[in-house]
Amino acid sequence: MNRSISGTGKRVGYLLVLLLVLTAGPALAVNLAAVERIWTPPDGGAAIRMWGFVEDPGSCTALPNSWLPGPTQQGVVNGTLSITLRNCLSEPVSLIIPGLETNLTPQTFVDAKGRTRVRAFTHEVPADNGTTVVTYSWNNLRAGTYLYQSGSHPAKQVPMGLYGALTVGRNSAAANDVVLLFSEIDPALHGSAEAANTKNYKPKYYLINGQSALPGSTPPVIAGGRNQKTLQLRFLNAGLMTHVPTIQGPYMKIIAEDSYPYPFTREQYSVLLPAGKTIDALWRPDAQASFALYDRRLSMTTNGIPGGGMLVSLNVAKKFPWILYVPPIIHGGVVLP
Amino acid sequence: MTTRFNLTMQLSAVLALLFWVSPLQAGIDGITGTNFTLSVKTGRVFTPDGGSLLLWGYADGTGPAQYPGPTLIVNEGDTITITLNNALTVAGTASAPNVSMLFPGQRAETSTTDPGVPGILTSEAAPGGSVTYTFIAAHPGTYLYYSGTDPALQVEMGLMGAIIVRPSNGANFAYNHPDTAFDREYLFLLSEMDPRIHEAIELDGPQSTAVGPYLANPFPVVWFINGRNAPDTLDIPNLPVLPNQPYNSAPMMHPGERVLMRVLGGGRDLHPFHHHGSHARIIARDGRLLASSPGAGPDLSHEVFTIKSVPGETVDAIFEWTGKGLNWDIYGTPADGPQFVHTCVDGNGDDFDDTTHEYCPDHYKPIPVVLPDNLDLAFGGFYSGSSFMGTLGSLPPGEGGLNPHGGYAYMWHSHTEKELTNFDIFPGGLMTMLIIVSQGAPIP
Amino acid sequence: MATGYHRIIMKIVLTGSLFFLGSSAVQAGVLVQCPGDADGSATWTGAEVQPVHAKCMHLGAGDGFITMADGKLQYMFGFSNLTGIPANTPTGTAEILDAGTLAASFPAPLIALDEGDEFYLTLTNIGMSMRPDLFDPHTVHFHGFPQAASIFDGLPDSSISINMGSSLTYYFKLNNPGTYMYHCHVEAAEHMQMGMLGSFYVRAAQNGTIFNYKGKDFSLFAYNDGDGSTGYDREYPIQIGSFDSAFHDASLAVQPLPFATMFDNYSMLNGRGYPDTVNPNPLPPPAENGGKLSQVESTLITASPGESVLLRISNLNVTKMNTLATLGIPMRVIGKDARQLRGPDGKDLYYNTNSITLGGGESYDVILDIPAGDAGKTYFLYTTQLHYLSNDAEQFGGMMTEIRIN
Ligand SMILES: [Cu+2]
Ligand SMILES: [Cu+2]
Repeated sequence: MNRSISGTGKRVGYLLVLLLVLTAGPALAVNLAAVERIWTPPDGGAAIRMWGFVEDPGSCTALPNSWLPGPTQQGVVNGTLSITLRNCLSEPVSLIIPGLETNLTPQTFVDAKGRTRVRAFTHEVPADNGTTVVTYSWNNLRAGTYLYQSGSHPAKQVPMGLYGALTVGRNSAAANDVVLLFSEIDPALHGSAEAANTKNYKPKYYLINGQSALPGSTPPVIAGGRNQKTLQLRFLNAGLMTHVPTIQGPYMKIIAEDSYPYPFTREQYSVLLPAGKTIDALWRPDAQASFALYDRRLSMTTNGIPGGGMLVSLNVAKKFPWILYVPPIIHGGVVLP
Repeated sequence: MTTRFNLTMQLSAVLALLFWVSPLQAGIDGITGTNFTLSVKTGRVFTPDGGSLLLWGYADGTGPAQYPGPTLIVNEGDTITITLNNALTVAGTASAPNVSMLFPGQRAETSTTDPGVPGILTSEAAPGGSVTYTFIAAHPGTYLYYSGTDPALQVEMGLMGAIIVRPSNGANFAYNHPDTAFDREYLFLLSEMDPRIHEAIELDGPQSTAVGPYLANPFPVVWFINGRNAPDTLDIPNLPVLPNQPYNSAPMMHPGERVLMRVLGGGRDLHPFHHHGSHARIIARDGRLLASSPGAGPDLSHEVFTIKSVPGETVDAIFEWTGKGLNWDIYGTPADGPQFVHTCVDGNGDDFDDTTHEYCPDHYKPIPVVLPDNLDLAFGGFYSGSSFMGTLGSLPPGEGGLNPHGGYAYMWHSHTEKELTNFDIFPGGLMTMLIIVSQGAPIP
Repeated sequence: MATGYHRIIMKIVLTGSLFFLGSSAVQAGVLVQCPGDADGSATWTGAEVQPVHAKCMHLGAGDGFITMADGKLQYMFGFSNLTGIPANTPTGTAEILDAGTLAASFPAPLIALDEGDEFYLTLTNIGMSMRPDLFDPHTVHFHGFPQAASIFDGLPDSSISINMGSSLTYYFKLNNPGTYMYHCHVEAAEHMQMGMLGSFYVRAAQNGTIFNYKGKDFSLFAYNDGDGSTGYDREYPIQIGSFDSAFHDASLAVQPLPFATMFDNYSMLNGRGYPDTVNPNPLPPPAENGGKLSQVESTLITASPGESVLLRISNLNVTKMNTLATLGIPMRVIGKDARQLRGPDGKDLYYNTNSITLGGGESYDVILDIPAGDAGKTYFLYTTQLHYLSNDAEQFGGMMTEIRIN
């Protein structure tokens, strides 16, 4: 890298971005903080140190202590998004949204052999116990589903938990939408020491929306819209492994990848969801029932115990909410008599 | 792992290959009908290194456990009923697990008269018990079935198989559209196994806690097509020494034919399935034509030279080969010898001989280079000894021999080349050979 | 490393090689077949006349060394480019063997040709200097070549492989443009892990005609699209490859090869890990191979605002699939496996995305349409399998490069 951005240059850049924000369409302004948290596995395993994005509490003190993926942000088509980030972590962090074009200002260092290397894809919030906040901005949001994640030392900071979902708009054919964020945790990389050789990444927990199904128990429930109403399924993979979300029930119509609509849709019961990928699908449930959604790469384990992991129940509500109705017992999308 | 005498099987494989011309059926083996009774049993998956792994497999009725489970070949529109018996036995005092079947792409229901016991993904058969599923085979295509009970463990242990739904158009169509017609079809159900899991289950029983780390991060070292590792893939079906692996994978074709490849991801890993020879046109995924609208046919199809097989997904692709455009005559020229005198008669104006499908613009063009002396060369077992189709050339003693009709042989294999091994031994694994033989040569 | 019928075959192969080397070295067959080329240089010089459409190349197969981005020296098998050295002369064999010794490069020499070419590719088996115990034959598998004939498919099982000290000339008539790849297919899991892999692409016959696509004139095209939609201004071959250093170290030390435990710890683009990927020059040669350049291909992508950049991406990783993403600009995917993404009745199946996922033996053609206002920007091409952003244990490396807009 032959570019290095001076502090003054950065500030000028931010002013320009701010001006754009002031003149553009509907604006979404968000305040987030990067914080250390704890994730407690459902199997009673030891609590795991995580890093995560949370709504900015205004300072780095008195933070709630349970990790989840960052809060889902909902942008407006053609609008703007600005995220002001506070850093409560021990190293600089940053924020990128792959698929939304913006002016990246890569941060570099020079290694022992004199080679310049990028350590962050864009400008960072320093590790100063939350004193400095930095704003990241995007204009002309395109409809779609996006990951927001750390752009600093991504091999470490993303698997540490610094990711969340951004949705912009909703497909006109869909009455509802749901975020299905896949990710993993390898406890070995979450100790206090500097991350070891990341090549040895071996996740033990496989999560959808921050939850790992507990083997032998009812899977976590995710609201899956209404019977006979098209639902937009937003699949995101913040993990480093490939997953294959598979739905037991009607086929999905796969409509977009990384927020870019396909020229032609295709029908599948499953989705190839590699690391960093987002896929949008339309799905029209044909029963008031709960439909299983699982990873056909069989990351269906919780700390090695089969039957858990990436498995959720998409609970489809009755078509007309105002009619009283007693739901039947259901299994795997099949209404049992 | 149990070791087993190895050489006999290797020799039998070679012999079987030599006698390929014997009347073995090509195409896709399986069971047909509308009512099936399957049982889950234990068995052993034999690998060419001489070892074997504990198998939990679906069996056809009272037959042996199979890896993969029996291929269910049914017709569009039929109501299919499958009764699953849990006959799984486990060592020691541990209890056998429940088992079940999922039918992705189908809308299966559980019978009211044989409902089994509730499970998380579907109804299950308790040890010694049963469960009956029904579904309407509403859409033609290629599908999978597999266990819905602790699938991370049970699919690994072998509980998966294929379903083929034949369209109302007829048995030589993949779907209800003329562009899906085929002359031959072959199944390529791809999978892998991590022996540590099978060994732990065999030692400690189904409740083994030792499998945990392996199930969380499997590291397979054996890879399969239709439940066999190469070179056993090329052996005959229903080989007595492979009692639980009845299916082979030995595709053959003539130039000009359309071969339907049904490629299924039965395991948990992705496999880039590279088919030497030419491109194949992907016409469907997960049992649905790549069509812009109903009835449009595969107008969104496209050609690939490597099929990305995704676990749990199916791909249908059409493969064709003629040798078109090589710029030399694959049937030889008179200068190569009197036996190479032949005609190229293109009566219908499609540039190909009407019978042999030779590409006539290349007729009698000589091969443009001279091959090195035999002393400078190493030869493959599938080499005929000649550059020319349908010809057996002279080879040093002991060379060749696996290609009695002088066909062209092409490896169809995982291009994750590591997967061309069986327990550290190359070659093997997820690999087979397509043999293209000239029009006159028999295909079983 | 063979079983069953292969084991029998390999035994005979080995015996044959020994016999040949021991008793008939005088007929050692270094021989380049290239029409119009008298001295076997695979080029046309002096009075030699290049026939219309003829293209020739002379590759050597042998061993060598490269340097990983963290400084580790890595032994490898690979191909070298011997084109230009007269081979069919009294001193030719000696010169070729000398030039090809320890000359393996990673990736293998780029092969870029034009549709309609008749390609005469001579492969000479140099042998392994560091492994005198090995007598492995080699091949070139032109991966993806449509309507292939077995004899030139480079698949040792179904055809012929060339023994040490001899040459085999392959012939290919290139009827179809697109992004292919090539590799040795002998003992594929070993020879490919060891590095016998390279990029191979064929430019479209439509090149040279002008098509206006979305307001811009193009004269270069990935495919014969008829409408300019695959037009580009610059092209970059990018080959994904990975090494398992334990495997390479075992090979150099003549130890049993760890196939089952094969686990890549170096993820690379065009034979380098980041930040060496952005070095525009050949990497300094390792002393261990006698100072021969062995990593000549940069993956630094540069372009000007408004240009369309064609990335010809292939994967020859032998252990896993890879996902390659752009950050800052979308990929427009226009081809897969050397075929335009277009349906049989002409529907364009192009799509935009941030990333493609490809296993070994797959290729994609993607176009980056650089916005007019992006001067000075840097985008990234990197794997979203973020744990591979490392050179073994060293962070901030691996499968990544930069796209610099000047
Ligand atoms: Cu080789
Ligand atoms: Cu290949």
